[in-house]
Order: sequence, then C-alpha cells, then structure tokens
Amino acid sequence: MSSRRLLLPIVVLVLGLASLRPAAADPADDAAKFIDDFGHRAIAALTAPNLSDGELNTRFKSLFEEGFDVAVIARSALGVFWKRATEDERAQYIPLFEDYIVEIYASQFRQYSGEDFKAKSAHAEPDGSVTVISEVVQPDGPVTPLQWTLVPADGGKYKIRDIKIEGVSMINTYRDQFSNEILQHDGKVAGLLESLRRKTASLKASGNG
Amino acid sequence: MCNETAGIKGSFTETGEKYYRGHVATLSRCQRSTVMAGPSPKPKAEETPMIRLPLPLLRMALLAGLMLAFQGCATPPTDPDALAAFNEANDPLEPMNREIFAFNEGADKYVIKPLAQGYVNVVPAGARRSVRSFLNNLNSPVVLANDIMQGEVQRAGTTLGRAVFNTTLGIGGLFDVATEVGLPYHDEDFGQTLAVWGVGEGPYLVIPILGPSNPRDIVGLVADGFMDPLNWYLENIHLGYLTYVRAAIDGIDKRASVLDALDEIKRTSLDFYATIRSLYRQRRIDEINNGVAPAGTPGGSNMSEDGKDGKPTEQASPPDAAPASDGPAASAPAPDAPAKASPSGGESVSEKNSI
Repeated sequence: MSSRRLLLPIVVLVLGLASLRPAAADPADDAAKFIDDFGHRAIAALTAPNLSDGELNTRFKSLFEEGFDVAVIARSALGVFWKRATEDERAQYIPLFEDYIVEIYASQFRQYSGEDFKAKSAHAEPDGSVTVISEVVQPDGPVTPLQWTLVPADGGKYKIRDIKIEGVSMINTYRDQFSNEILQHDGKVAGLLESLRRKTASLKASGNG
Repeated sequence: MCNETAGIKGSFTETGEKYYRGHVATLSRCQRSTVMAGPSPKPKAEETPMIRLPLPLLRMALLAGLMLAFQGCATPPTDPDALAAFNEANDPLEPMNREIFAFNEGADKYVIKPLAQGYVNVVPAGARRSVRSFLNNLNSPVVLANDIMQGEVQRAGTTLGRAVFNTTLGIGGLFDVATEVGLPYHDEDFGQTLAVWGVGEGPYLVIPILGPSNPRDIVGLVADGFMDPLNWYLENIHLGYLTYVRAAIDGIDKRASVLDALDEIKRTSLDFYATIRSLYRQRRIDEINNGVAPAGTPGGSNMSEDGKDGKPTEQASPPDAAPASDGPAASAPAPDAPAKASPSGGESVSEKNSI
C-alpha cells in the first residue's frame, strides 16, 4: 500500500523533470520555435490576398519592429559613424533606416510563390546569442539556407539581430553601403541621411513593381 | 588626379616616408597589386614552340595589370573614422574600379544580360540544369586539385566521387546523379587556395567583363586556367577557342542564375558599386571558409552595440587605421578633397543609382 502511494509522486516527479529539462536547458530550441512561428506568421500576414501597398508596408513594419532588434541593427549598420553622429542625426537616422528597409523588403512578398520555410537547427553561441539555421524551400527549386542571429528579449521572446544568406550578412551589407555613402559625402553622416531619404522616396514612387 | 600615382614605380621609396601611415599602406597596396596582377614571366612561355599554352585569361590579367600601373588611387580621408572606413573598404583604386564597373554595366545591359535572358527564354530549365552539371563536371580536375592543395581530404573525395559518378552514370556529366546519392557539388579555385595558405586578398579590383576581383583572385584565375588539363588538351589539338566558348557559356549561365536578384540589388542599393563590392567580399570569405564561420566568430553575430568589431574577415583588417602622429600630411602633397573618393567616373555610377 505504502509503496503504491509513493509511486505516484515519483512518476510525477520524473515526468515533470523530463518535460522540464529540454525547455530549461536549451534556449536554442526556443529560438528555433520562435523563428518558425515568426516566419509563418509573417508569410501569412504579408501574402494575404488583395493587400494594398500601404497596408503591406504597415504590416511589414509592425512585424519588423516586433521581431527584429531595430535599434541595435540600425546602430550596427552605421558602424564607426554612429559615435560621431549628433543626437539629431541619430534621431533622424533610425526611422529613415527603418523606412528604407520596409521599402526594400515589403515588396518582396509580392513575388511570393509558395515557398515554404522551416527552422532546421539551432545552437547557442558563446556570446549569449542563438544561431538558427532555417531553409527556404522553393516548390521545385534550390534550397536556400538562412542563418538567423537572435538574442533573448523580455518575456521569453527573442529579437532577430542579423540574417545571413550564403555568408552575406544583412548588417555587414548595410554597414558597407552606409560607410561608402558617408565617405562619398566628405565623411558627413548628413550625406547618408540625404541619400536614404532620396532612395526611399524613389522606391516608394516606383511602387512595388 | 591622384598625386601618389604620378610615378608609382619610382617615387615610392622617396616620398613614402613623408606620407602618414594610411597613405603608405594604400600606396604599397597599389604597388603590390601592380606586381601581382601582371604575371610577367608567363607570356614568355608563349614563345616555347613545343607545347602551346592555354591563354584564355592571361591577357585579361595582363590588361588589368597594365591598367593598374597607369590609373589612379583614391585619396584617403584624413579624419580617423573616415580613414578607418576607407581602409575597411580596401579599395584604393576606386576611381579606376568605378570606371571599369560603369563599362561592365554597359556591357551587361547591352550584351551579357540580353544573352542571359535569351538563354533562359529559349533553353528549357531541364536543359539548363544539364549545362550547369556538364560545366561543373568539366571543372572537376581544377576543384579536385584545389581541394587537395587545401588539405581537404574529404572534399577531395567528394569531388572525385562526383566526377566518377557523373561522367559515367551521368552521361558525361549531363546529369548530376552524384548529388542524389549524397555527394553535393562544391566549388574551389586557386584564389581560395591562396587564401587558405594565408595570402592576403590585396585591394579590390574590378576587371573588365569579369567583374569584382582582387589580385589574389586574379592570380587564382590564371593559375586555374593553367591547371586545367582540358585547356592544355584543347590548345594542343588547335581547338583552343573552345576554352573561350566554355568560359562564355559558363558566364552566361551564371548571369542567368542571378537575373532577378541583381536587378533587385541594383534597384534598392544606395550605390550599386559599393553594394557589389560588399557582396563579393562577403561571398568570397564564405567560400574560403567553405561556408563555416571561422573559429572565434560566432555565426552571424559579428556585431557589437556600436558596430565596432565588424566583419568576419578571414584575415586581420588593415592595422594602420590610425593616422601617424605627424598630422595630416604636412610636407607631402596634401589630399585636397578629404573623403571624396571618386573624382569623375565614380560619381556618374553612384548618381545614376541613387536617383
């Protein structure tokens, strides 16, 4: 009798530990789940039929702000010039950067043609970030591996810090472009701001097409 | 235009000391690339009567070498932050590069891209896959040699296995059966091998028609041409022109594979030239590392709060980012327009792409 009564708590304990362990020990799994979930939600929201350009951009922007560490990405993309930018230039720069990104990527979802997306593997990095490898599988085409860098955020969530495709990092590409733009304008951050403003306006004017 | 190029050969030692360090680094990089890009002993081999050398890319490399000798360097900025960015871009020949880039854009617009589009429109996807498989298979000896020179035993085995499978079961390489049995294709070239051996890339260079490169990759390209037994064979049965045909088909197929992607990059870039330079470099580093982030670089998270520790360079970035103590070029002809890197040809490109 007494042995029976003991059995139940033990079973509960063992089962409890077993189910707790992976979640507690492996943030990589959580991050992979986050990417899977975020990716599918983004595809669903951004490929909905009859989206106007304005609505598409609004949706993209809110997803971008939700899933990406926008402030840090923007700062990294400015590289060495962040610290020399004035308060005013920084305040102008971040929304300009964001608008530029929205204009570039939102329209990409117009070309969506049934590609599927899934997280394949994930591992924690020594610096506390998590790398998730996912694949974009085209209906009958090549598989493109995407590498995501995430950092833990509040509420057990994650924020995306960078995306790499075949060795090309989003942040590095923008940093190189922005450095170049500043160098072309006598080392002035204001020159980059002007270029961003102009480019975003021209992308907006040319529509999604 | 650029003061340091007036007599690049002779004046280096006399005036070098007067420049601050960033200047010297640029100058010596110009100098080095001139030496590296023009492999002068090789043309002599042409005179050897017995065996004809395959010369497909040699002339191109010589041309690039000559242009380097005559064209100008960009003027490095004096401001330390701008100078750091300038050195990171590693493009001291930017004015010349931008001119060649503009030429290449024209060639692409009127010749290469239409050919690539025609190729996609006319040749069905299945046949194009066979062309790619066939060209990849032809390239096996070069990939294998480079696998071996890099000490990549397993990858060498993969390349060998692929060549055997695809040449036989794949009917001369027309079908890539090896990938289906778990031997996927990978590329290798002598530029990558040199990088693995520790040779630095040198300054960024744009080559007519062939596009983005650097001295290391130019040497690699020429070496690969010489390494390829098929080139030797064709040359010696007087069908050397087939080497060019093969290169042309290869180029058109590769261009065709990035038709939409390149349009999109051009459409969205602030400066198409600078974006291509960045993409080329990042892709090469990835290829050199065989797609694996080098130890010590956590995958993808190569950034910090202030973006200082930037790029996943496979080599140390230029250490001389800080100007020397003797101030901005006191006695040497001072860089008059600090950060303006492109006096003429460059701007037209960047203007065009930022409208």
